Amino acid sequence: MDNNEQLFTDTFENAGVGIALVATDGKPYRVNRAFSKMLGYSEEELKHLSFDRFTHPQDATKDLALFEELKAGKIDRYSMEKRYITKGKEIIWVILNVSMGFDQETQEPYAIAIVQDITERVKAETELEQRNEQLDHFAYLSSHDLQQPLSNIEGFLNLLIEQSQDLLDEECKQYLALIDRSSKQLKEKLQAILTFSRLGSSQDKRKVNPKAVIEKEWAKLSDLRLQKNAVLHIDTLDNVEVYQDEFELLIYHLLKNALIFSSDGRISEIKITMLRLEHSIQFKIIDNGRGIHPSYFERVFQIFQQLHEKSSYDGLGVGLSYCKKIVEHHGGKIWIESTPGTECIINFTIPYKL
Amino acid sequence: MLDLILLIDDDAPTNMLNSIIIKKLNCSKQVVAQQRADLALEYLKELGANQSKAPDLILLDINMPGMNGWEFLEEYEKLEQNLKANAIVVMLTTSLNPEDEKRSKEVSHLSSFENKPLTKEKMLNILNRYFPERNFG
Repeated sequence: MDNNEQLFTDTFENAGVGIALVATDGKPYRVNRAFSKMLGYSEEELKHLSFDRFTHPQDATKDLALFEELKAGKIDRYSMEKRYITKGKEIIWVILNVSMGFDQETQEPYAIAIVQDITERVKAETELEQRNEQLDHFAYLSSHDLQQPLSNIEGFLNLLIEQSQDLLDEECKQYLALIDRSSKQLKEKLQAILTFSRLGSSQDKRKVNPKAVIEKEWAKLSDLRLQKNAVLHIDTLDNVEVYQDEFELLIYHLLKNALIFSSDGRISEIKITMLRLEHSIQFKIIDNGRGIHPSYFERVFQIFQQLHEKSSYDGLGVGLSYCKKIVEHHGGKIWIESTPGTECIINFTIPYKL
Repeated sequence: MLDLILLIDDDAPTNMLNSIIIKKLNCSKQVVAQQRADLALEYLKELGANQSKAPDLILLDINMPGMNGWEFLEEYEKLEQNLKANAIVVMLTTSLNPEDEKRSKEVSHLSSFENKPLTKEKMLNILNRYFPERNFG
């Protein structure tokens, strides 16, 4: 063995990721230590096992299909996240990268599989997902249960206000009015938390025409629209697969947001366009409103955040937090570009495959 | 004037509020409150056994421990006709979620939903909608 060959062999053997050279029949005829250790099989045992024998049944079909395409030269490499089943019957998650090689000596093609164990990462992700679900569930239950006593307060307060009109002085009446206003605010906020906690659970997957959805939601905003003298332009948009009820809510809040934060001085113009990206469609909602300073680009997506002083707009500051949760449920991203005082663009993506 | 209104809610202050509103409107001879849906069913059966008239109106809470409002309705539908008479069942809810709305279409004895808290205006609306011939004003 010359130096180069020795160097190559050492690298192969000592690499931290699993490497296997796989014959066209799917059997790994040469594997490194990391690969063998990951699966719990010796190199000798692996020589007689086609890879689908130690692949999780739910991942085997896809892996075999890609392997066939690779051998046929239809693709020159593939990668996937998949599960192996070790000799000790444990399930491990890996990222697999496969490409073809050609052995000059035997004149046979072979596949090079590079495998990285990501079990810990997948476990942590699953746990995080469960925690988030629990958190949503907690928010849902607590806001729901708090509504009952609150509605009693509201109900008895109604009676008290009605019956005490002639008994109380102005100051006391004012106190009652303030209690009434606060309990209404509390009710709205609880309702918002309830709505927020429910988002992300819709399974109502449907192909929709975004233009039709936009026009429907635009119609719901007629008061605000007339008050702002607003004009809407919609470009030609592709149909998209979405969770319909959530997508409608997303469009509603984006339009409402654009209307509310329009500039006082000029006619409010809102334009909606689309870009086709590699894996997703990007929508842009462009308005000529007062815009947002870059330092607030992240903060506006948090629930109950309001950037403008209370008097100018009496919303709850929930719209964009709903939007973020909805877009993320679709596997997309949402972000803002803005020139304060001139325009504001809210971008969001929806993957082609949900 | 109605003869009997039955209130079913596990929350005592809610039953109290609703009774007060009904009494203030002077719209029913009798108001009975039950804090458990299963006991409300027993009460309806007892009324039948004593040859008493079934309630004209039932105000029903959705979320109750033990038997909830939906389960009550399932059992209620199984009751003999004379125990139900033509009672109007109105569900009172703090917030209507989409699942509740879907479920409401599957039960035949539910007349409508009303948001809590009950007010005089809401109660008058219910009375005028379902008992227009009795002139509640």
